[in-house]
Parts: sequence; C-alpha cells; structure tokens
Amino acid sequence: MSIDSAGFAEFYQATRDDCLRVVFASVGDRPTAEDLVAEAFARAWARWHTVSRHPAPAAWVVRTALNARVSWWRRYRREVELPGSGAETALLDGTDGALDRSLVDRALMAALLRLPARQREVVALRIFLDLDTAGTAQALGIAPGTVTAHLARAMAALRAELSGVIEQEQR
Amino acid sequence: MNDDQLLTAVRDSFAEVRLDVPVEQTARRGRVLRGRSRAYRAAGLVGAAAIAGVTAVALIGPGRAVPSGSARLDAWTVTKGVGGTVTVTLRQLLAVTGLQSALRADGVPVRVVVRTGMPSSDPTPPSGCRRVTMSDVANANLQEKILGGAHANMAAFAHGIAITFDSREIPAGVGIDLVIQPLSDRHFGWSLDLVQASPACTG
Repeated sequence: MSIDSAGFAEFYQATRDDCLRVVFASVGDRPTAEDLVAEAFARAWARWHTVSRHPAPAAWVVRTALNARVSWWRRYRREVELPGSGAETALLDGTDGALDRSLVDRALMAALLRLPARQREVVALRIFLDLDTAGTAQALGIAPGTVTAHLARAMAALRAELSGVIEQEQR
Repeated sequence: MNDDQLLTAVRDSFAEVRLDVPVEQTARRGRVLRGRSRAYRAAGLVGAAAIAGVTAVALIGPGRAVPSGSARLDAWTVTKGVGGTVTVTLRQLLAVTGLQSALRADGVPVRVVVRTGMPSSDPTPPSGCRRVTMSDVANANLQEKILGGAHANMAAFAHGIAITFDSREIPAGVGIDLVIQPLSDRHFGWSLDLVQASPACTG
C-alpha cells in the first residue's frame, strides 16, 4: 500500500516510539497507550496537510492520544476475551501489559506512576520529545510557569525515590 | 544525582518500548477517518480495543453477596471490603439476577443491565435515567476515583471480571450505569457511565 501523504511515513518512523513512550509513561498501561497512539497517528495521517505544518507534530500526536483517553474514560469500557485465546494465560502470568516489567525498570515506572498525572506528562514530554518549557506548555495547554513548577516537583520526587536504586546499579 | 543523570535513567528504561504498528496499517485507518465527517465517532472506537482474559468456570451457581474470603464459585459475588469498597465479580454473563439489589444494599447506587444485540460504546440510558451533567474531564476524574483507577480493576481479572467501587467516592445524587454486552461467542464487554441517581434509574 502506498502512503499517499508525503512525508508522513518518515515522520511516523522517526517519532512513533517516542510518542508511545510519552503516552505509556502518562497513562501507565501499555496496551491502552498503543491503542491511543496508533489512533492518534491515524488521525495525523487523515489531517496530515495540517499536522505537518504544526510546530511540533509529535506533540500534536501525543496531545491527541491523551485527549482520546479522556473520551475513552467518559464511557469506561472493557472487552473480555473468553478462554482459549491465550490472553488469560498472559494474565495469569502477570504479563497482561498493564506494567511491562520485561521492558521497563520496575522502580522507575513505579516512581513515575506515583507522580500526579500532569507531572508525568511534563516529564515524559521533556524526556522523549525533548520539548522545552514553551513547547511543553503549548502541548498540554498550560502556562509555562506551571510546566516549570511541575517539572521541578517531579524531578525532586523522582530523585528522592530513585537515588537509591541508581546508586545500587552503579556499584 | 543531577537532573541529566536522572532524565537519562528514565529515558534508558524505556529504550525497548516500541510501537510495532506498520505505517500501512496506520494509513489504512487514516483513510477511514478521513472519510468521516465527525471525528468523535473515532474516539469511541479507541475505548473498545482493550482486551483481558477470564478463566473458565464450570458448574456456576446463582450469584450472592458474600463475606470476604468466600471460595464458592457463583455466577457473581458482591463483597464489601474495608473503607467503603465494594467488589463485584462476574463469572457468568447473563446470570445477573439480584446483582443490582446486592450492590444497592451495599451502598452502590447502580443500574445493572445486560444488553444483547449490536454493542454500543455509548448506549442510551432508559427513559427517566439521565446522565450526570459535568464535563468529560470531570466525569473521567470522578470515575477514576470511584473505580480506583483502571489498572487497579484490570489487575483482578484473572478469575472473572472484578470491578471494585469505592462507595465513599460516589457523590450524593450520582449513580452508576453498568451495562454488560455480549459481543460474540468469544467476547463480551462491560461499560460504565455516571448517571443522575433517581428512582427510575438507580432505585
């Protein structure tokens, strides 16, 4: 299948992993994050003529994914697969993806998830999309000063929780 | 540890998190969305994607409210925990007779409905039962408080659908609309929305 939105494929390949990481860090559930990000990229494709001119298209994708999560929560909904599909085995093994322990260090994710939601978003945008304060503020629709405050609080909390873990790994 | 070291540690821990959806699949979905005039229709589909498993249970009896620690496998059980939490565990789809009364008796103003036919991501409440009037964000935040977070509930799925409500977080005048929908011979779904508590809706 040809990709008939010029430049989208390159954008997608370059940013999809980092967008997933931001949303995963924000929502704390990898399958949900994958669904949200995939849908957000599809929306970006559908409006690529506009999104491609956005000053930070990856931030647009993340914002769209996080907004979709709010819509999803509006009507909390789950589907359940009956036995035989393999999904129940994954659950019994504790590998249902709610926290992908094979990929993400447990201590780091636990510390991140203990942060308030907005602080998680600010940290994730800073780390994975390398957004500055103004870009983060624009992506989240909050004031730059609020971004600075959230980031400072988040860093202090993470540092307090992780310092022991990092030092142990460095020994 | 300085800020750079800390940020690097967090960044490195996510190095293996990758999105494996091919760009062709994204483009296909994009074409569908482009053909639609109303973007909100797509938002509903996102919520339908999460999948969880459930263990088969044979010889299931009728549901009942039980004290904590019961091992009997009923079609459903309602267990009142400490601090105002009420957990309902569903093991059989259509045998929910009495479940609504049991939940209400434990302080959860709820309407429980099994709805067959074409599933909807946003089923319409019955006559006399109105949705709460609040923003989507406020609604989402309140649901998260009542449910204790999606992940806390999802973690208990190994032996049935277990949904835990924190009755203390349900404001006066607010009720819960719980809809169970068989989707196919292999899938079923449940959805929850907040409604205005009224005799016609939540008893």
